[in-house]
Amino acid sequence: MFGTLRTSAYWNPLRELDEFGDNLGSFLRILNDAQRQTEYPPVNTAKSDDALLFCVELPGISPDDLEISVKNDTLILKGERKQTKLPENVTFQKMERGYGSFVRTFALPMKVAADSIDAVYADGILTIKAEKAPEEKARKIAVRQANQE
Amino acid sequence: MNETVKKNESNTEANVVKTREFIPEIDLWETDQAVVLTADMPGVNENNVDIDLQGNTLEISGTTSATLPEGFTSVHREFPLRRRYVRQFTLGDSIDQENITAEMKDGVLTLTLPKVKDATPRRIVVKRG
Repeated sequence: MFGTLRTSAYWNPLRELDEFGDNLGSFLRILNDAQRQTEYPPVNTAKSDDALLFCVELPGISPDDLEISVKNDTLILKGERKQTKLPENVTFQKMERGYGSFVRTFALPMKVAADSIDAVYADGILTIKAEKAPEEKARKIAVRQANQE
Repeated sequence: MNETVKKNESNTEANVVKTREFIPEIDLWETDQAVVLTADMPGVNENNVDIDLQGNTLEISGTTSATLPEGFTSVHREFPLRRRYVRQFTLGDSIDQENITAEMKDGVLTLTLPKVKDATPRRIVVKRG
């Protein structure tokens, strides 16, 4: 649902019928995604020598509705996407965008420095950067010359 | 052997710059004054979104051109970095095309399509001819 590739960019009447039955709201579709093996929100993970990077696809969300925390070796992203405030006397024609609360957890392959975690939200993408804890970084070990007797 | 290596490199380059196309999800509602369309296009900002209107066909599209920062390699990808969102709509005749406005915020495109103000209804008197 979120970002799935479809074969045509044009109106598909069969898809309309499918969505008509989903009038309970897109929130239930977020739960359905577990069956389709996609979690919400989609996250790309990347790494460098010193840090981990998580890019999260989250359009139309307020940073106030996000909570990022690190516990032991797990990074937890919690949040809520709220529906846009609508004026009075509104008739809906389509409501495909999902809203509701979500949680994603990531097992970290290494310890991270908790105070180094940087989260930036721009253009609908949340980028979380976590630097490796100092003890994880490779240390250069100096070699002493043995005393010559 | 050098030629084989070069060929492989150009193949991977093509894969890396390929842009995946998506249909953006939308909310569409209307009031007495206007039709409002909001489309999710994460990663798109006002500089790389296009709204094209030809006759009664409206096409919205946006592209992202994200790249990983220096020194980072991808570990697990759930959405492609380079995406193109595109979707078409047919507008009804009641839309005042001249006054369509658009706003892009946090990866969400909001289009407001005002409706044409109806002419004041009036009674037409029928005379005997």
